[in-house]
Parts: sequence; C-alpha cells; structure tokens
Amino acid sequence: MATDLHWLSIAEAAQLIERRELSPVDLVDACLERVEALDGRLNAFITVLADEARVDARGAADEIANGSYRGPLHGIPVALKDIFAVAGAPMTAGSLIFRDVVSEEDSEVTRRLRAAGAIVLGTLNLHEIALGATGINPHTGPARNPWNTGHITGGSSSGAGAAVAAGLCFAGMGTDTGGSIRIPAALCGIAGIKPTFGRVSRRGLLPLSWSLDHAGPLTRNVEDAAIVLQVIAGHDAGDPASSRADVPDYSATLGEGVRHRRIGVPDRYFDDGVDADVQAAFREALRQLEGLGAELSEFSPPHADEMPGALAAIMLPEAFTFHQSAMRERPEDIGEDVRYRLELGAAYPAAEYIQALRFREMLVETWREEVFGEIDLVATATTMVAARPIDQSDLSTTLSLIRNTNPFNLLGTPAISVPCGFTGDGLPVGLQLAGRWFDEATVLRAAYAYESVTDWNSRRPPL
Amino acid sequence: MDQQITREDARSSLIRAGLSASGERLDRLVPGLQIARAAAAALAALEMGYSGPASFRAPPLADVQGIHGN
Repeated sequence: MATDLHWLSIAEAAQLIERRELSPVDLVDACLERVEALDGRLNAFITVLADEARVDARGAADEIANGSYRGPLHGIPVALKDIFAVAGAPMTAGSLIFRDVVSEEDSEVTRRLRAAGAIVLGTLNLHEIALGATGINPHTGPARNPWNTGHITGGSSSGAGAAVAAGLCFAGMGTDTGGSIRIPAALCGIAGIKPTFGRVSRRGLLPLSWSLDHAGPLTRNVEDAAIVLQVIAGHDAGDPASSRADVPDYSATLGEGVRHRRIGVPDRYFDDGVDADVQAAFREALRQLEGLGAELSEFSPPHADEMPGALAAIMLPEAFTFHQSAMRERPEDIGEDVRYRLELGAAYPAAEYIQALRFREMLVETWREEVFGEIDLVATATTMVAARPIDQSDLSTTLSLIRNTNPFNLLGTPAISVPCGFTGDGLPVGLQLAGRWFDEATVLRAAYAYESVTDWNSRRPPL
Repeated sequence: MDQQITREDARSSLIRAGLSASGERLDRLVPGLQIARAAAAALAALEMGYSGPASFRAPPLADVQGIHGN
C-alpha cells in the first residue's frame, strides 16, 4: 500500500475501500500517525479520539468484508469543529467556559456522518466560541497554517482548515456565520462550502447566531465536498430553520460544466482594497472560467455597503444573548477580542437588531430579483488578503477576511471557496462562487469545472 | 447620524444588559458602538417598505377602497 494514504481524495479512497483494496483500519492509522507527527506544530485538534476511531475503523472493515458497504464515506476519517456535539467527547468551543462540557449525544451532522460510515477522529480547534475570523485563540492557541506555520489559518473553523490541508483527515466539518468555512478554506488552499441557510441541520451545534449560522464541509477538492454535503444535507425537525427542500444528487451533475452559465462579477465593494496578489489570482480565475464557456458580466451589488453593519447588528446581539450568563458571571474567562465583541452585542438597541432583520428580508428579495434573476453565479475573491503572520493579525485583518464572505451569510445563499492560486510568498488564495438559494449543485459544478483545469488543489504544503 | 456615543452611553448600555464596565473597557467600546450606530443609521435611511410575511401584508389600496365602497 502506498505510504501517502492521507493524500488520497475521499473519492479515491472510497473506490479502494469498496473494492476491499484498502482497509479503513489502515486509513485511520495513516491519519492518526499524521496527527501524531504534525499536530504538535499545527495545533489543529483539540481532542483526538484515537481509540474510538480505531474501534470504529475495525467495525467498518468488518461490515465491508461482510458485504455491507454503505457508500463513499464508509471508513473515511473525518473530524469536526469543536462546537459539533460528539457523544462522549468534550465540546469546549475553544473556550474556558465550556471546558468541562461532555456531549451526551451526537449532533445531527455527526449522526449523519456516522450513519454513512465515516470515522470520527476527533474535534478541531477554532476561534473561541466561533466568534472571530483569525483562528487566534488565547485558550487553545492558534491553529497554524500548513503552508507557513507562522501564519494564521483563518477562522473560525481554523483547525478544520489546517487538518484537511495537512492531510490529518479527509474532511473537516465547519460552521460559517460570517465566512468561517470559506475563510480557512481559502487561506489553507482547500475547498469549503457554506450551503444554503437551512440546508444542513445545526442541531447539536453550539450556536453563535441562529439567524446566520450555517454548517458545511471543508475538503481537499470539490468532488469530496459534494460527497460530504450529500450526506449531511436534508431536513431535520430538530433544527427550527431546517428546510424541507429536496436534496439533489450533487455528484451526478458535477461534471456538466459551466458552458453558458452566467457569472456575475461585482463592479464594486468586493474588490475594493484587495491585495494585488489576490486580485491577480482572482482575475486569472475569471479568465479560466470564461475559457470554460461561462458568460461573464459585471453587475452592481445591491446594498453591499450596508451589509457588514447589518450582519454585525444581527450576529453580535444573538451571540451575546446566548453567552450572556457567561459574560455576567465569568467575563475574565473569555478572551479579550471575543469579550469585546460580546460587549458590543450587549449594547445594541433592540430597534437596531430588528431593523437589521428587516433589512435582511428586503436584501434577499432585491438580490433574488435584481441579481439572481439575471445571473446564475457570483464570483469574487474569497478574502481580500492571504494568511497574515499570527503576530500581525489584528482587527484590520479580521475585516479583510470577512468583507467578501459575510454578504452571503446575510443572503443565506450557497457559496464555495476553491483554491485559485498562490501569493508570491507561497500562500494560497481562494475563489468564491455563490449561487441561488438551494442551488448548491450549480455552485459545485462551476467550482469543479474550474478546479478541473487548474492544479492548485493538487499542491501540498511543505510540512 | 451625527449623534456621538459617550462613555456614559456605553456604560448605561452595558449595565442594562447586566454587565459591569471599567474605564479602559469603556474607552475601547465607544468607537465600536459609534460605528455600529452609524451602520444602523444607514439601514434606517433605506426605504424598506413592509417586508413581513405575505399573510400579514397590508392589502393593496384598491382593495381597501373596495371595503369602504368607493
């Protein structure tokens, strides 16, 4: 067996497992060895469930040997951001407040992954309570970017970005309230999709902002993202926001390309102040999409300037509402940047929160008619900057990271980030593609088509 | 909106939420609240109309006139 099992894609590993040419036991061992060798440098995991994973891997191997192959996640090692409940495991949220919490049952995402046969390797580092975009956490330490361990991974799903990019697991589950799946995907050179609001259940996740929270996968390529999303998408009565919309077969249409798909490129806001290296990679990605037959046009993004303020006016009061007892009783146990944001949330007048929710409804209708009535996809750079050095990442870094992603949290549309190049310093850059509500299939298809004519996702970090 | 947020505004807001506040923390909070207030003012300036669920939407004027028989 090859020595670099950890670099297989999910699709490749699944084929080998189904043909019984690869045992889940070997695959899990390969990942655990990788974790053992590298996580001291990367700090991607909070809890490693090595014994449980080995037991589950043997169970999967026995099942497959007995002819009960469940599908493409059977025997595949995955890990979840440490705000997804994993039965019997700690769920710290990267916080001192939740340090002693042990989950009694699986989150719905965890349950669906296990039902599909995935092997849970452990829980992943994050920005404290998922309220931040750098991944710098005073309690757990920062997850470190595999492309340069002196740099941030982006967050808040920081450990997922590092773990997947470094080959410690095949998929990392993340959450995205203002960009927290797409930002670490972009900064770590992997794929990450935020599905439509309501597409994936949040039951069993620690909430940050129930009006804006989305759950989704980070993987090393788009095909793998489609495979994982297929398993975790779908209605769950346990999440009040969960949609009953049908879930199509994402993999079945993945290869249909982008010919004659109309891709809109915002003529303002989204490229204001973008770093030159990022801008160059993004513009080259647009040229390649056009070469694939996509029809590009510019459009003026409605109400773009008001979106960040509206997002903050919803997210921060909701975050404070959930964490208010901790803020009153143990504020000194909360990291300074998160405490500051929660204090801002506490101080928002109710009228401003409600106004922002009204704005969101109006925004959705405006974009539905004026933008997605004319085009199929929106393309932007995922972030304005590549990964900054850990010791130079501050509030301005956060703003540079979230500016282009958070509009699609307010809108609730699906949006993916895929690698589209590297800076002169060798740090990854991401292309963001957003589509219509519940049309993840088109988003995945366009991203897959782009990925198929580039080699960015096949490059490996120098670890 | 030109209204300036003061340290006292910030302190009052936090106290209403059950939080205590010290001088340095208040100093840091004031600029953030000022930005938040400006952002909220931008939203308030938009003509958003009524955007609630359709079942609660006010009937068109013609329908209202019909009710009154004119």
